[in-house]
Amino acid sequence: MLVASVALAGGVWTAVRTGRVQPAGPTPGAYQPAVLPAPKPLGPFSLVDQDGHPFGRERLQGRWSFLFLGYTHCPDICPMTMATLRQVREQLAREPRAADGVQFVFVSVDPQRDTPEQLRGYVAHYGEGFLGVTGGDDQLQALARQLGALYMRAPEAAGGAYAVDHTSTIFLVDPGAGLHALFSAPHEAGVIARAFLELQRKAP
Amino acid sequence: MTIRLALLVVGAAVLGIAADALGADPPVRVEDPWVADAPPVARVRAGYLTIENLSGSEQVLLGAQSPLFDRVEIHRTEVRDGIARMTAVERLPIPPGQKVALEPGGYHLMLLEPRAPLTPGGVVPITLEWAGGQRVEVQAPVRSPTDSQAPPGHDHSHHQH
Repeated sequence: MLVASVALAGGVWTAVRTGRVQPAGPTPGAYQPAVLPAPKPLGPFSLVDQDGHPFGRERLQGRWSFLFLGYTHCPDICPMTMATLRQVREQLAREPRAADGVQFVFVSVDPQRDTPEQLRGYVAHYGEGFLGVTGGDDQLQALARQLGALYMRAPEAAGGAYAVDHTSTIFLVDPGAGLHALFSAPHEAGVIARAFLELQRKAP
Repeated sequence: MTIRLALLVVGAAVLGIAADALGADPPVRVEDPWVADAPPVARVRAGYLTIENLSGSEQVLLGAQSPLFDRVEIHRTEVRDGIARMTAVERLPIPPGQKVALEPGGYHLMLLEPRAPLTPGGVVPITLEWAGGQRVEVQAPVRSPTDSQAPPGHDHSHHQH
């Protein structure tokens, strides 16, 4: 099943390709996030978090959020990215107030296997600030499309195991619930933390 | 050059004979095996290691087993156009004299259905199964994936020697 969101993804990537995106970060020439010229306001979507509470656009307002698409049966990229985000949080926590209220949201694109209970155990491993959310495909799509993210369930292999291909980008959403910046893989905690501190300082 | 090649071939032949005769290990060196830390609820884990083929002939990794998991498969992650895709790999050939790294974001051993909780500091025994029937057992400590993170864009698979 292909769950694609080509049209809006095209908008973001066109901006990247045509150079309308300003690079941020203190180390010119090194890996840098793609910062949108103006934050792209996110519209409504309706997911649930690891405690079964609703998670929609309003839960993104008033705080910075890092969003990452994945699934708990993902052995390689997901634990790697989650561990990197945990390092980002640890680095932010060394700066006064920088980590206050910042949330790290693991968006499971595998709702069949990732129940809220499963997500609760998963995100608890990464500590303070980490949330796990999921929902039906229509609502996951409502969010993914706006981020310019894709996911696709691969055919089932032996033993009922299957993989879910997914965008490996980390998305940064600002306190106005606007998509603010994209960090493409491979991710490095130090680079993400430094770039975030700069964006946080610049933001109104 | 010709003499070196000839010596390599002879050396490989000798090694091959020795392995056949004694049922010994295949002529590979396995370095730095480790298993990525993940939440205890995770039903899958990734194992990583570097394999160097010391011989003059291709060595093929066919699979692996671990007493701590129901089954182990060889998988490969590829990130293309920003999308991470994972596929199963039936056989992993190691070309003569070369190193292949199983590392985050690339080839890995996919360890499925843990039989016991794993925590950082724990050790996972893994038996690598080679074409030709040989086995190599390694002890892979559990550690955070960020403890060994390569710099972005760094790729040290398929080294030429």
